[in-house]
Amino acid sequence: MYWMLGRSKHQLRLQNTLLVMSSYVFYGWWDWRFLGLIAFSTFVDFFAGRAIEKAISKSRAKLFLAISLATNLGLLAYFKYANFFIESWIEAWAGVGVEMHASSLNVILPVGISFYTFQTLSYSIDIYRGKLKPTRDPIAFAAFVSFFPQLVAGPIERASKLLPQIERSRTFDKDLAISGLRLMLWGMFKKVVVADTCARLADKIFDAPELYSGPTLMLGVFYFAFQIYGDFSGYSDIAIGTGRLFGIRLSTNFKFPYFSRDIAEFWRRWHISLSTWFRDYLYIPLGGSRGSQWQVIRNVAVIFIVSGFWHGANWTFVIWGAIHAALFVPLILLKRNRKYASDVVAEGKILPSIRDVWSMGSTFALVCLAWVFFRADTVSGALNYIVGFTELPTPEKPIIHVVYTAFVWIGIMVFVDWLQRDGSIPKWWLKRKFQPLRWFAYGMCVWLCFKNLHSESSFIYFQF
Amino acid sequence: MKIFLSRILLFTSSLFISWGVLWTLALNFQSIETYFIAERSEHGAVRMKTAELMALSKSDTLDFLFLGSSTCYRGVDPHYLHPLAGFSVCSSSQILGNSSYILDVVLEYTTTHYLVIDVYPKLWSDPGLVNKEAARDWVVNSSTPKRGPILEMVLATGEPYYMAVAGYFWLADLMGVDYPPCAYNPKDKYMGLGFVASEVEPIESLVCDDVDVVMSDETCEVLQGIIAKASLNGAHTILLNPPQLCEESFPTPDCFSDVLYIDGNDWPGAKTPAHYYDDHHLVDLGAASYSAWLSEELKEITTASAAFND
Repeated sequence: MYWMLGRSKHQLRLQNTLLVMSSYVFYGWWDWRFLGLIAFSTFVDFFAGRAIEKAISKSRAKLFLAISLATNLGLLAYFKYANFFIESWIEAWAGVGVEMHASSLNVILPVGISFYTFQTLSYSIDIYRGKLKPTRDPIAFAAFVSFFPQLVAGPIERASKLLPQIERSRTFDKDLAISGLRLMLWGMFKKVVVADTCARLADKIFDAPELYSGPTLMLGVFYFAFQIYGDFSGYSDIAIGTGRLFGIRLSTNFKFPYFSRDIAEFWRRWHISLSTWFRDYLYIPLGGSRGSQWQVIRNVAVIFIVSGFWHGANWTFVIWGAIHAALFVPLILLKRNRKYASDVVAEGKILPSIRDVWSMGSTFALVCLAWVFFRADTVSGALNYIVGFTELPTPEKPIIHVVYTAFVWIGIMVFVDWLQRDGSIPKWWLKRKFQPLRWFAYGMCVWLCFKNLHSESSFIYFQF
Repeated sequence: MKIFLSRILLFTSSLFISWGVLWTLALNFQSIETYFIAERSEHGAVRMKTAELMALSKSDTLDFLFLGSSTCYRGVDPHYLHPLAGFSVCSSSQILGNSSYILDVVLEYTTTHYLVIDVYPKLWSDPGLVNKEAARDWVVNSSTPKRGPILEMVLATGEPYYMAVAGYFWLADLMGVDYPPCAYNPKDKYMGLGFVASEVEPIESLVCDDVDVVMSDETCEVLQGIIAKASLNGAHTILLNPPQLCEESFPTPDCFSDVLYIDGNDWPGAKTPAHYYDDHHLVDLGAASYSAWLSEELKEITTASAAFND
């Protein structure tokens, strides 16, 4: 339907209208009441963007930017953080012996609010900074804010990248569409087969950690590490692949983060659209890596803690961010944070060196340690979980039965990621003589997704 | 676009070819069937009880046929009904929607004077009218041919993968492929007549929460359909609420009226924790005591009914 509209005289407008309509139907399917919220955010930022450009003075431009920021951040603060602040306030007073009574608000968190809010914020800020011209086409802008493949869990797109694509006429590109389908299938495999299998195992351990000894608890974090990677990068792959079917190229969100050799490299490869957003709109305005050592430490701490808080209104996420900040700061102080900025592990080789294996393994272990806070419901729960690592297996707390199928699926995912770690599918795999093998592998992939799909499970990042 | 669509068409055909290859491999190697299609299991002993069912004949009219979930196959031992004849085709997560199809399967092999339906209230809130897992259990593990009501039950789940699994097991039946089950619980012992004894440690105590359940109108209609079907086949229906340590409260559904009803919670041992391994599953000793009590209740019904007919 979308590409058939492409033959008409008003191709672009019709295609964009269809995109907006389908995005609103998609979002309204979850809860139609929040369509007003996304429409309101779109309305405010569209006019704020134009007002910033037309502003006769810097102070007026700043005022319109402030309106945009206040609206977006206000909505985010109310829907995502209201209860957290009320409860923290009560707890803080309780800590000094003052008992306060306030009922928490019955606020439903609108799906994807953290994602589309950041996307629209970048639009207003970029216009204010003079890096972007505001669009005059409200339909194109609405399509940019609500583009359904990435609406609820990213990648968080910049207006400078996505908007021009939406404003430009698009023609069907067979190769782009095929690569999109391939990516969607791979994303489905990562989510439905790997992440959901790991989720069942991780949930079992995290739901009752007191029943297990150290090795099992470590296994639980290992499963969770692959659950969250398969879940989130799988969603991103599906979103990017779907975008390609519409002729739109979305940003890469993951670049094989578990092959990182230090935390700095991990953050260049994990949730890239969020980390670059924080870098451009928070870290650099704060001064970035310039200034005194103390300022650099402060800036790093701020972006990681804010990033943690962005994930959810819970101290566990804040501590998760703080742990990453603590791991990142030494690298930046020793000026080693860009050591692996331009290369990929074992570039041009089949296997990594022992040194690479050690670096990847230790980075993965540190990331896993932080994942405990990300996954646990409370800070004390996370601490108890980590303390449990030291407990040796006993007859009452034996090592849990290892589920080999989970390791097989994780192994397949890691192997395929390893083959593509330079960012592209190996050329031999796409050769014509491998077509039967390739299509058989895709057939198996579809079957396994089909097999695992019967158990319903949402994407982790939908809650953020 | 045309080239793209033709590639999609070609790819779709290749999917069926690759799945055909997978099925062929699975029909030859059990491990492939287990990992890629479905795992044959002995949980609930569906394979053994259906094999026993197939040995019955229509002339062997049962006195009592039991339908229901795990509370029934772990709690009701039909041996206690002796000299009357009883048989249980209860299976894991079997809700009323499943029971309706399973009754059709049973009626192909035998008939009954009384149909006893286990109406465990917690299962009334099961989403959907047919439980997917129970349907999968029957299509994978039943010894009866995978046709008619079993396939209809799988279709009623609306789950494409289970439909594909049903197709595979239909083919496996046709080709005479019958692998032994590879998953079982060593603490479950199949005793015959559909009863599974749970040889596990009982619990010591349990804290109960208040749980309210309501039977939906749709579920009620399904139950009425089963009662009508039983009546057409000359059987009376008895509804049996299994004993639970923590009882659910529920308003009596309309479809319970005019039907014989036994509340398992009236069993004197219903509130003894040592009879259970969780809040509603009986251990072997609990099941023995409960079955003895239940068989007296059921025999009383048949005696009263016989007296009434005289």
